Amino acid sequence: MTATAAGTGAGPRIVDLRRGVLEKNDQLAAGLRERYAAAGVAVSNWVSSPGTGKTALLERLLARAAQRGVAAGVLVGDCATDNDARRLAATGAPVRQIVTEGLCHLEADMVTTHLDAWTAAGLDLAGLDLLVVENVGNLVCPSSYDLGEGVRVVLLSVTEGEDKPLKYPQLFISSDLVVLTKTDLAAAVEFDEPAALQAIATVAPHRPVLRTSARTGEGVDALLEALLATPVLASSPAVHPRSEEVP
Amino acid sequence: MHELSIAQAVVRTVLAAVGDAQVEAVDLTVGALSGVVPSALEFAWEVAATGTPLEGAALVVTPVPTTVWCQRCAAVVAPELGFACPQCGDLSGDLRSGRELEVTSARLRAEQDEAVSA
Repeated sequence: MTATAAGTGAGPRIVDLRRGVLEKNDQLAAGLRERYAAAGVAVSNWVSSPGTGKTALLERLLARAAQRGVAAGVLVGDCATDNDARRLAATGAPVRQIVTEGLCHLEADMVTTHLDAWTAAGLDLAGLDLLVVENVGNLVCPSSYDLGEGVRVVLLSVTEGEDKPLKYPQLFISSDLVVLTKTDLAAAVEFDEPAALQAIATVAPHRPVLRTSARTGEGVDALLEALLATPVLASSPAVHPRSEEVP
Repeated sequence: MHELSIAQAVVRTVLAAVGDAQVEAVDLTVGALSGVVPSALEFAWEVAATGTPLEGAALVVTPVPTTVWCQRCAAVVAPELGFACPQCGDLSGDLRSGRELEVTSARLRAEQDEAVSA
């Protein structure tokens, strides 16, 4: 887009810009999306607060994927340490850690850089059926950044409180699929599931909700199938606009 | 707290468009669902602009409320909480505004024009 100046000489000139602040991120995300489409890999971006159990559920999911002959890989983001990558690599799946050094979310340029380095180190993206990008645990900031994923998955553990979607609506609004985790603990913490479902529906109507437990394995197959059914999108999804302007 | 990243993106966007022109103010629209807190962004703006040609320029934020299309009322409505229509209570996922995060314009200093025309 070209900036146009509308000035008459008197008073300040106003340069009309109308540019999305995250335009550069969105361009990189579009590049990633094309790359994933060309490789035929279904990509999901997992977002939640810290401690929701993303990594534990991923361990279970990767083990199940291996049993079923599904090739799955993970890019995992954290502020510090490669603890998660080491945990996940124990499943035998290809895993790469992104250390953000304090940054509270992943951006498309970090994913691009790491994907480049990972493929240079021998990863065959086209050989994967599934790629999970595990975002930094944070319920606010990751919502602004499109990472080129086909589906954004928001996770909510039964130990967090049923009204969390009402308190942190942005992330739920930007998601395509909601995953309840730690359902094996639901009775112990007196989780009010109808209240949680109502809270989810209030801020993010019509999203599918999956119940899962990394301990019992509940919902792991259903999640795997939902992720594999992710449409491989060649362009930005229009259903839940993210940083782009709402049409 | 990703407002510093956002402020840096605003600086890059404006500089790419206006070059080294003297900027008096930058206008930005921020939707209620954009995930960006205007007061935190204004604080981050000073940090991000320091040492760039935009140092000292004001950041003027125009907030945009959340609105959705309510099928039953056949109207664009502003929900108070979540996506429930304030009139009939129906839930709608048909978002019409609230996710904006856009640099709308940059106001250049008047002296520049005079200097150019002189």
